[in-house]
Amino acid sequence: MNHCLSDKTLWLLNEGDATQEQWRHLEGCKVCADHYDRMTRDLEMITGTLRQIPPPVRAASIRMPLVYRSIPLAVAFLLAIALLWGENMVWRQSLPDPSDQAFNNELSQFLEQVSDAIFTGTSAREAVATAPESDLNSLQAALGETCADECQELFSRSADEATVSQGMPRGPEQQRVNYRAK
Amino acid sequence: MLNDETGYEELYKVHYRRVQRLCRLLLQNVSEAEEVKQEIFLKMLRQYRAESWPTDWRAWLTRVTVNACHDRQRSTWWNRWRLSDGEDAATELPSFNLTPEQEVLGREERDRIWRCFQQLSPRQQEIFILRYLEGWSTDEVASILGLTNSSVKQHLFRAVRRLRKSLGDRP
Repeated sequence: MNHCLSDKTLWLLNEGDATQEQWRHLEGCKVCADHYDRMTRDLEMITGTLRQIPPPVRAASIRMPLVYRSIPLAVAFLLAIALLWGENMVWRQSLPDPSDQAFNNELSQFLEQVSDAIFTGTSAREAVATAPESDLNSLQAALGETCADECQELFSRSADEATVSQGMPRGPEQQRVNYRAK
Repeated sequence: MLNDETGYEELYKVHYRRVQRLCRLLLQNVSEAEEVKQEIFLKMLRQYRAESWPTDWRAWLTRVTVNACHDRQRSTWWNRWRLSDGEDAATELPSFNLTPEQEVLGREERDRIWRCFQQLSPRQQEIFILRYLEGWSTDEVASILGLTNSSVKQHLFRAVRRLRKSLGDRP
């Protein structure tokens, strides 16, 4: 055998897996013998180092790659964004519409006026007398437009009729009719 | 029962350091290695009390340790992700009879070896440990890991080649 032995053959020699011919070459070849000696010294150095307890571990070198380490962070970030977005959407939906709010305000004002008219110490006549105008105002406010004159007339006439039907002093003809009925 | 317990203690004393080193080498984390070591000796105690003793406790413990470390590596991706820095560095043993320059050079060389070892595949690491640090033959390593002899040799040679490369050109 003229060729020098490969690293693998030298390692197999060290493991005891070599042929007689390879052993003979090793004994006769100075280059291979030097390689073999160096390999055994290297192995002793490596095993001696690794036998030290505990190993001087550098945490950074045994961490997972950056891509894998950043996955939980990325997922948490996306979840936070989704949560904020969802919360924002729900909050927006729960806000009342401005036009609805104006209508509600006007309606409540109207109802207050009605309740004032009914339950305050004013007489029924005063209440009825003031009602048409205030009702008209409320209606105008609710509709957001001004009523035409015809509408105003119609409204006041209906208020007069309401006054009569609530037992206000009646004319002689009406009193007569009522008497006959009794 | 007392005899049983003393027998177990003897076994524990004999194998304690070997199992500890094996766990630390395979897991490369002190706290995880300690936890796994406890599990292994608990398993050994159960095995001992059940009187289903293996023919060779050393081989049995090695197999159980390798499997336990495999399981731990598979289950602790999160723990490995959050691993803290340099927890083992402080306990490194100082070497005497060296000049400061030699000490620095030696430390650099050791660091290179460790870094290279950590970059080996888990299979190469465990084969190297079992063969060169635990002293099992390649046939025994193949039997413990359930591999063929040629596969073990292939892994072992690759590991040795890479580790030797990490040493660079030395006189």
